[in-house]
Amino acid sequence: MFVTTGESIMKQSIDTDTKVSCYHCGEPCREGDPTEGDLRFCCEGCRMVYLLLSAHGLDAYYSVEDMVGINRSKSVSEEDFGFLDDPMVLHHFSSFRNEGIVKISLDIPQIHCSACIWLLEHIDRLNPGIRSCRVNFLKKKASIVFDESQINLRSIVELLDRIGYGPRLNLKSLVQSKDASERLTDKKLIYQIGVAGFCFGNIMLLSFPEYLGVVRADWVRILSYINIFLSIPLLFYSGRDYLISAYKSLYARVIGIDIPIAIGMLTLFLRSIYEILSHTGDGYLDSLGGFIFFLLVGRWFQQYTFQHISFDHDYRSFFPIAVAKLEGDSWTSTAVDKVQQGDVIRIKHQGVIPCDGYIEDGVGYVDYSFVTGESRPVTLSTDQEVYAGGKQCGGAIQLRVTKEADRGYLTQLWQEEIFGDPSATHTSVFINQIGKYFTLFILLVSLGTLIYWWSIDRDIAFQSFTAVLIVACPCVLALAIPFIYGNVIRLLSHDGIYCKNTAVIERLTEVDRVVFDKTGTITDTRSSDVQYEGTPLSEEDKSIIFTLASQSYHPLSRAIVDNFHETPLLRIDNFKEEVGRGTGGMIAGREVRLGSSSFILDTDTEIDQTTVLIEIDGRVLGRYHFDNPIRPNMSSILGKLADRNLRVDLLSGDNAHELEQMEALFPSDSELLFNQSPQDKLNYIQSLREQGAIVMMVGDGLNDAGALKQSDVGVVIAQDDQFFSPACDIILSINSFAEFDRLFGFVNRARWVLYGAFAFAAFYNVIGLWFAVQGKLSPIVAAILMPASSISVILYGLLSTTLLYKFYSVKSGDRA
Amino acid sequence: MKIILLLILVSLFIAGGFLVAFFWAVGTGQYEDDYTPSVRMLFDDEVVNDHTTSESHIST
Repeated sequence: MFVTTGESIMKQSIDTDTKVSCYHCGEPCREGDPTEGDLRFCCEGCRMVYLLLSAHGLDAYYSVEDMVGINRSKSVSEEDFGFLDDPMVLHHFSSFRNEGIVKISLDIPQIHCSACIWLLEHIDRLNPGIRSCRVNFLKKKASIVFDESQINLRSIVELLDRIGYGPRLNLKSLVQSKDASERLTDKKLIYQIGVAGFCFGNIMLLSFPEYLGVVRADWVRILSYINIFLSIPLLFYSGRDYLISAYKSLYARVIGIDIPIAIGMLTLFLRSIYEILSHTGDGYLDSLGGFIFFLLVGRWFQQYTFQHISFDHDYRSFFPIAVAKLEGDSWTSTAVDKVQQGDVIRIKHQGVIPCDGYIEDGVGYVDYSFVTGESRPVTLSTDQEVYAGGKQCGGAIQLRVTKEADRGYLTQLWQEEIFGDPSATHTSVFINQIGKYFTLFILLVSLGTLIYWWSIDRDIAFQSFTAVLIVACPCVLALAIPFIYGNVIRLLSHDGIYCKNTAVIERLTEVDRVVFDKTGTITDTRSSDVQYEGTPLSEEDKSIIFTLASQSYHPLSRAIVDNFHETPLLRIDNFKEEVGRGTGGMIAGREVRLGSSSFILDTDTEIDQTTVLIEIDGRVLGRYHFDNPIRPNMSSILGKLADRNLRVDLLSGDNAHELEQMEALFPSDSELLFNQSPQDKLNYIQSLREQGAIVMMVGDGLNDAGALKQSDVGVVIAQDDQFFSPACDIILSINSFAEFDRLFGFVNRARWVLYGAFAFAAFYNVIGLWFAVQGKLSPIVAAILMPASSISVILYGLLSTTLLYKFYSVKSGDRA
Repeated sequence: MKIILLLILVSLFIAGGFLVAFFWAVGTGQYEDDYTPSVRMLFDDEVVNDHTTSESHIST
């Protein structure tokens, strides 16, 4: 039943092994491809880039690494960068501007190897107006300094685009300017750690003499005064976030983990000052220093960031930054946020529609898969309405805008309450609950101690009361989650599983229901499976079909064209196309028609819109089926999830034509829902959660964005982790999808590690409290006990999660 | 013993200097990219063709 062109593909790949690859990009070269001296290129674009680089003495690009160039035929955007002439746009991109010297920062996702760094950092040779360029490889950014009098932003972007490094420009890069403030908060934590480390180290050093007893008492006192001096920035700069958040939660009448932390800090500080100033003791300032320092390091560890991944993309990073707008009788490139109601804009082939509107001219083949999940393009003719977020697959169309970009249908969905509702973002509930009971317990013990000693000795009563508060300080409790789950995040990232924060790990351990989106998750939208069914085709028939299909812009025709390789094009006469139905023409003296069943058979009933019939000389030869193939090993993934007692469900925006296939794939108790709008998906997740389920939603894009956000854990499958991914909790690289269930196993065991850490904490607290309630907590006991407990828990957490990960990946290797 | 006090003050002063240096290093973004410089330093100084002047290398 299958007639594919596998034979010719094989022939081609054998040929390329013996033949040459493109000098620029490494793609196989075919007969007749351009050459330059001895060098072969796969396309004219690659040759042009080579000529440009070699003319400027940048040949060394090719010697840094072999065949590293970016294929020009693939990355050609032919974009009109006219909108970059707008001074407001430059203002958004520039981070520094003085006397004509401008510094801009651009996202260049194509950066992938050391030769990219080399070329981009030598780009000043291509145009003297560019002063310098610095690449940040991990963030895939280039910061360029240029002279405004010699070159402008548009020329720079065009130059980059010409050599295959076109920067990513989307609406978000225009709107967003929070990058700078984000970096500032990151730096603040580093500064705080620096100060805490400085103070902690020095206080510890200056406390030695008093523990060893080698220095006279009046000297010790002077050293203690220096310690007080050092502890002020320690508490009020490095520790201020904890004090502020404790104050805020007191104000909101919520008892969290921050309150015992703040109580501990303040008690340590005040009692130390009292002891030193009243000459009754030496204080516990070194414990305070260690405490704050370890807390901050833990916080830093928790904020493990994936430099090139962003978890909070929204529709703006998906929309184009500019469109061609009709002004007078000419087209000018305009930034999308300047497009207004009533404007006429032009959308090119493969362009994303940024605003709602209706078609003025041209035929729309709009792929709404990003909005609805429906994989089949919709055919629209003049005066019909199109919605923002669709992708035009045919030729260019002209639209009259009815709603601005930020008021369209898709945009409205994104602005649903759920996206602005703070309660939808979950915090670490577990640790806060523990914190609550812990605080109550400690307050009771300390009050009990106070009451017990009050009648015996008031000095001891006061001392032991504060000692209980000091020693019970939940340092270990506060460190356990950052270090253990922080390390889990780091380890998982080696497997291509990127978690947003430690709270996600915590919620993962509780997931009992996994909901999959179909399009792009279960099925692979990138490759379209074309299957032929019918009378076997001769070589001539193939050429004829190829010729006819290549005349049409219809997405299904394009898919047929992509399926043929090395088929000669023939001459075509009498070409006709009936929009959305089919095409026909005379090729090699034969009458050929290609189209939907209603077009070919002249019936009203449509068998299936994803079927194309072929008719040559009035005889129906066969049909092509189009399907997004189901990802390989999907059934094993679902099976493994079921083994872990997780219920799996399916949500699909598509119609139910794949119901049978899906029924075979999913376990029998799964819910399979089709024809789901984005709102339906969101409501479904909501209803599951109301029933008490902890839901993980696995999806791919915008149309399930609401559901992703609504779920407890939103997972996005990323085809390519440098590119687009919407708001979610976990970004899963497609390569690790097959081993996806391991995530649950690993995380569940990590939870036991965490419980182990709590057992440690309890152990230390019992010892500490034993001393404290008796009024025997000397500074030296505190100085040993507190750092020892912190360090041992940190080491235990890091080592055991790392071991667990190793053990776990070996085990899974055996299984696979 | 007075000399100890002096030494402590001097050492605190020096340590403070390092703290300031650390602030400066963070502030100028030296910890923001810890990968690219390791690649950059391995690039060979290539032979410059006649028509490209080495002046254009010198940047601000």
